[in-house]
Amino acid sequence: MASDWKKGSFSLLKWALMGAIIFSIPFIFRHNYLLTIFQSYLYPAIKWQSLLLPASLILTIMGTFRLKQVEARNPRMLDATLSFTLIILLFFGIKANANFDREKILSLDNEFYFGNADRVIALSRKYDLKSQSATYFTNMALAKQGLLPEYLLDFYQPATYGLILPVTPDQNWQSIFVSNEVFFLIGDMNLAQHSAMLGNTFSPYQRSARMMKRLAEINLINKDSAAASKYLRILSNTLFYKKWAQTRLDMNHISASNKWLNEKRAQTVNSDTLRQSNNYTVSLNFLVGQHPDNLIALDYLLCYHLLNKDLKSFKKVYDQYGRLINRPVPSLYSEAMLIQLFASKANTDIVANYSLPAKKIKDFGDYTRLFEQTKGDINALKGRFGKSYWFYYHFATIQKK
Amino acid sequence: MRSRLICVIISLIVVSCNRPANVKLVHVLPPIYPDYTDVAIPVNVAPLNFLMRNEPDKILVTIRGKNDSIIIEGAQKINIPLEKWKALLVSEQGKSLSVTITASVNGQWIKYDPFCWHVKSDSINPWLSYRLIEPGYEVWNKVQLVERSIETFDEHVIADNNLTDGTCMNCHIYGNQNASLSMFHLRGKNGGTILNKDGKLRKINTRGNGMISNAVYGNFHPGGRYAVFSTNIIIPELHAYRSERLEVYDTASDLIVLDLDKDKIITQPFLSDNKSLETFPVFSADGKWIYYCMATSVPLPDSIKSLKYNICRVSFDAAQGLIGSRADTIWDAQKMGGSACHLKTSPDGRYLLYTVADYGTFPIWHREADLQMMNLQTGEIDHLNSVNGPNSDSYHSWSSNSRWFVFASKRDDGIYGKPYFCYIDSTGKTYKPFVLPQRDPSVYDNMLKSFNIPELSNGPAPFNAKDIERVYWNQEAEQVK
Repeated sequence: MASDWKKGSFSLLKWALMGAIIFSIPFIFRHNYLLTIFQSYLYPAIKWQSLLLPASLILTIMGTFRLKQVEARNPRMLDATLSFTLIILLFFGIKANANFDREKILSLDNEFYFGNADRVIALSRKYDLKSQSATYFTNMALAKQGLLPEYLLDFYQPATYGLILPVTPDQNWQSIFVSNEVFFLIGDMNLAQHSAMLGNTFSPYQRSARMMKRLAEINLINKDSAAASKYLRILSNTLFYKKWAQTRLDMNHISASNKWLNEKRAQTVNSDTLRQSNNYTVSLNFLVGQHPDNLIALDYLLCYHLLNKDLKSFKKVYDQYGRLINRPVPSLYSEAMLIQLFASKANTDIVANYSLPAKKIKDFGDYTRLFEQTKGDINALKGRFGKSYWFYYHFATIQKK
Repeated sequence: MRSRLICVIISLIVVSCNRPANVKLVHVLPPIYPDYTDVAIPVNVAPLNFLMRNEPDKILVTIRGKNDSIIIEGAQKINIPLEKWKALLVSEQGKSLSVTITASVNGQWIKYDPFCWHVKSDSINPWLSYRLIEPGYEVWNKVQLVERSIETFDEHVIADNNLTDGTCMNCHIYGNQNASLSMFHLRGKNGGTILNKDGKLRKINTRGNGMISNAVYGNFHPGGRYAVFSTNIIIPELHAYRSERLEVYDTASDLIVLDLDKDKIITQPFLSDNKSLETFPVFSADGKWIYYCMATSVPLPDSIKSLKYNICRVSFDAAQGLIGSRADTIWDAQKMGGSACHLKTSPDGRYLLYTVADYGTFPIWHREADLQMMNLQTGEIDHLNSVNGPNSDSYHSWSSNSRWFVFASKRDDGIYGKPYFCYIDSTGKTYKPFVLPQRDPSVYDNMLKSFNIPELSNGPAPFNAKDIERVYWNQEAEQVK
């Protein structure tokens, strides 16, 4: 008995010692790999959740050996139990861990990335997500089709945060990663470059083919062939982007004959200003001032003011640039302009001067009457006017981040 | 015997197959990267490995000196054996090596014009430290301070922000290029200025009463007791025009001297008022002067193009610990038509090396930013045309024998800074610079980080990333008075 105990004690000690050695190895050698204590036990996983997959794999392998013994005794029972357990685990595992909203946002990103603006709008209508990122892609798709001031308020709008994604330390890397898209779309190549650089910096392992493609494009547009070559050279050594890089390397030499490049270059500015990276009104004003025909930038600037409820700035920009655009006054702008004209007690000649649709003027009268009758009852107004700027102006609360 | 004979015959066949045949002579320099053609190199530098941009199938390189030569074969990349290279440089110091490249491109052997490597017997300090950081303008993610042996390819990380809560860390600078006296600023809630004196690490909170910020740009007094710093309110803003990228300027800046023995701040009222901006201070080689950049405050950013810094100097009495009460202007920005920054005095006291841009405080993104060198005895200015590249050249550091300086240049692509070394002979003549050699010459092509603030030193730092982690988390910062 005593000998058994001694044997067991020795065995326990042996295992404890081995365990201690194994457990101490990551701690001892962590500085060789410049890892924190936490990282040394998790590496290469970034978070605890990242360990779920390898852990479940190891458990499955271990379980398989154990189950072989059970199978020998009762094979049918085992099959049924195993199938049932797997289904339950799969169902609850997916339900608990999968982020279906993120999947939807990624699909919007994907469609926008491949230039399918109409698909983005259709999917946005279907998903009806209350998400800043989803709105961001929807707004870009609308702007690309010239529909931003028509349908802006058909979709969830978290003030201006769905127009331009803020690049701040509290944003996740996926948000920073896609933040360059809007600047590239409106033609602000320097802000696009800034955001793409940060997208690269904050992506896992600080290397992203998508960001390098974007940086190459920006530098091609800016006629900075040395910088473009830097990224194209890296991409030309990859399996999946080699062909793409080669076509762009050719553009680096014969740029004048390329339609896409010429169109993007036409958007770029010919003079300079300084602005803070998050001062979007200064950037948009400068861009529009340089190219009043840049309709996407103009719509972004006007919508930015409207979502901020800054009607004075909206009217100033609209009077200066918006009226030069040859198109019927978009729904959103008509509604906003009516508020501003009403507030400034403009006479009928001035109102007529804006060529606002007669139906809008009538609707505005209806809205005002209903608002007064119901003493601003949100439920009474929501049905008919829920997607109007008047409703947004009265009831949306802007929270500064 | 027979098998040995067969081996010899096979070897001869293989070797003869590799020999260039029907060689076409072209009278151009070979398209090598990095551009090491006709550069001056120190006797103790690591092999100048390179690659060829025209993707040859085979390369044959002959490096021929008066007494010795090396022949290397390769495909696209050339890696020169370290020991043979070292022996060759020692035997050929003070002379020139002729480099001849013959390459097979699409099956055609081409022989290019030869070029030279001028081997200078003046050696360079064997270690270089720099900060590796993504050129992400205002923000950072992964930052490391690294030191590299210039003689070999050994590299150590001396600080890594992964171990210090992701904080930013700034330039690592040495006193007299001496590895036993150095410092850098570690930011963040447990940060401070890390001072290394003979391997003993101190953490100092350099922000005293009334100061506008912590210490920023600094330099050691040659005696080692003092360090001069600027304190700065730094604003980064983005340009809108094409590839003009970032503008970094100060809205306020002052000068202080820190007595490292007493943790005491020494100031002078005219160096800390709000009428002018003072920055990038350095001590003269004899420690009797402080050179710094000074500009009159202008409304910013509207008048950014009028923001031009002079180079001034003020006396310093190390025995009393006193800064002089009057400054002289030795480089007038208005007259010279530029703005000066990043001053560095040569250890022999002869030269002041600085960067000149069209305007602004911190022109590392200015294409026109170039190095200039002032002879402090004669006041003569060298525009260093043979040294400067098409993009910004800045942030330089002297070797302790004053025969070499290293600087960060964005000449390759305008975005990623790399350390270039330049030789200056006893008459003050400068030679074409060369980039820090790498074991794998394609490193620079694939790298997405900038080499920031390269500094030469006489040895490896007596601390490592583990020590910095310990100091960051466990050591209390000393507060300056």
